Amino acid sequence: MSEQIRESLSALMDGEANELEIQRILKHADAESLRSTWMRYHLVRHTIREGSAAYTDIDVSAGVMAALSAEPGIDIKPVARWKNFLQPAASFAVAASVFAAVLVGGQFYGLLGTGSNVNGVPEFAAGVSTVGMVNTLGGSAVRAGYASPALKPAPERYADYNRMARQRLQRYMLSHTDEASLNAPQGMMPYARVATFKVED
Amino acid sequence: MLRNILSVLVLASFVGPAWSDCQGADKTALRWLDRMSRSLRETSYQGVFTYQHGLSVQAMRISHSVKNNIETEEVTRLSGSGERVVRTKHPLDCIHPGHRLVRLGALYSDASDDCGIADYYQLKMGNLKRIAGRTAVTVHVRPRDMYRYGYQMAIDTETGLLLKTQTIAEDGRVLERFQFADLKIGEVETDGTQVDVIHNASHNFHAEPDFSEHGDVVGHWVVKWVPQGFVLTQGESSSTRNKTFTDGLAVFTVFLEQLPELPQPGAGRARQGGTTAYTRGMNVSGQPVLVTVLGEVPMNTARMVADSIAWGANGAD
Repeated sequence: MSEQIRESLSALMDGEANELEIQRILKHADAESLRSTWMRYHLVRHTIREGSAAYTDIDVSAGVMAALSAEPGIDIKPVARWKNFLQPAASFAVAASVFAAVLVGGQFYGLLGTGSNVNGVPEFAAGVSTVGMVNTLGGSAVRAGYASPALKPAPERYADYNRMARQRLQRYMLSHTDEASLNAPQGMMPYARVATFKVED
Repeated sequence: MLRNILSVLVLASFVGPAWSDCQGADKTALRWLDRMSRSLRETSYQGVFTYQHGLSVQAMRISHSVKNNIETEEVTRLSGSGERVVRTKHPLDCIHPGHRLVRLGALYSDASDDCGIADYYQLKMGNLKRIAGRTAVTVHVRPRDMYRYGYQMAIDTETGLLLKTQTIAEDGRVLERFQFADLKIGEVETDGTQVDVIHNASHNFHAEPDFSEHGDVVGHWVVKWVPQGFVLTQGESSSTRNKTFTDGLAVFTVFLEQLPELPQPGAGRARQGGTTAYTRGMNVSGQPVLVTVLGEVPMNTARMVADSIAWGANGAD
């Protein structure tokens, strides 16, 4: 298993994997080494948090598979691939996140409404099932798919917001550090994080 | 101000379950953190420390002096443009919530079941180390949940000063490191370093210039969710533009900008060392806003905090 995949897996465990990294992991999901490493990461995390590794050997993948199969209106063709890929410990987290995605997607999809095109929010493609919509409040709708084409976000929009986040990191860092230096154990040291002490006009 | 802090602390003491043995917390470690928090404010010292993240290293000179129970401190950047931050006239008895959370208080009286940060972090003593030519004890700090980072701290055995601290991600990666290269305890000498820019560290947000591109935020907004143990560093009404939260070790600030309109809802992320920035454009009760959560917490925490913004009058609980 390459260092790159290991890093992607680690990012996924942190909930910080980007689309590319998720794709990379899915592409190698059949590899025994990846599955065992993934499982080990879960075991380690579980042990650190809970102090024991009890219940981590319960296999719920069959149940998840059955539930997914019974789900109407969703493309379940790639399930065969998931069968190999779901492993005891990992499957629990995957199932939970799929469930959460469906839950959140379904919930907020209703709030957003389909027909309105206010503020330039693009309408959703007709016929797309609300089940499997990965969405959070006010966010853009991205169809959760197991096949690669469905994982594409709107790149320019994400890039825009990433640029804004980068700008704000620099612009607000001084203000944040003024408070952090009074409350964190490092005292004034966090001012080293601030790129410039010049206050913008 | 003081009353606000107190009310926050009273609230904080009701947050979360408590165990009389503090979930097996290492009390020696708790004592060292308590000592560190006091020493940071009460000791006079000067030195040079480095800040490292990724391949980037910064060297800064720091000095801290206490006279008649009044603190004066400054940090000067030694590389790049000459810049300095100065904080003066800070009374020692002005203790901010972050430090209060780390200090022991009534922790060891049998009647108290307040475990302080031990509710949210596992603490463990490590080996003795040598840093900046001084002997230090190591304290390993591990989060009990996924909402905060871990730390490895080295504390000077003689004075209790924090000589080195590393912020550690869940997978064990070191995100950033502060470390003294040189430290002198005692009276501070005048620093001859040339500087071009001096920033007077504000004691609260009132004196802040307007950073926001878009006008002032009208009305009260609240952060409905923060991880257990985080409290406001200031009273709820102190600012309409930003709110800072701390659990004693980690700090994050929520900034709100009101927009005339939202071009497209969405979210973006940025990081630097241990600092995360999560910016999200969204409609809150029909009003377009840009929320930014900036601080030393994992991205997921920042995202969850940003998602919980609402208009209203009640604080986070």
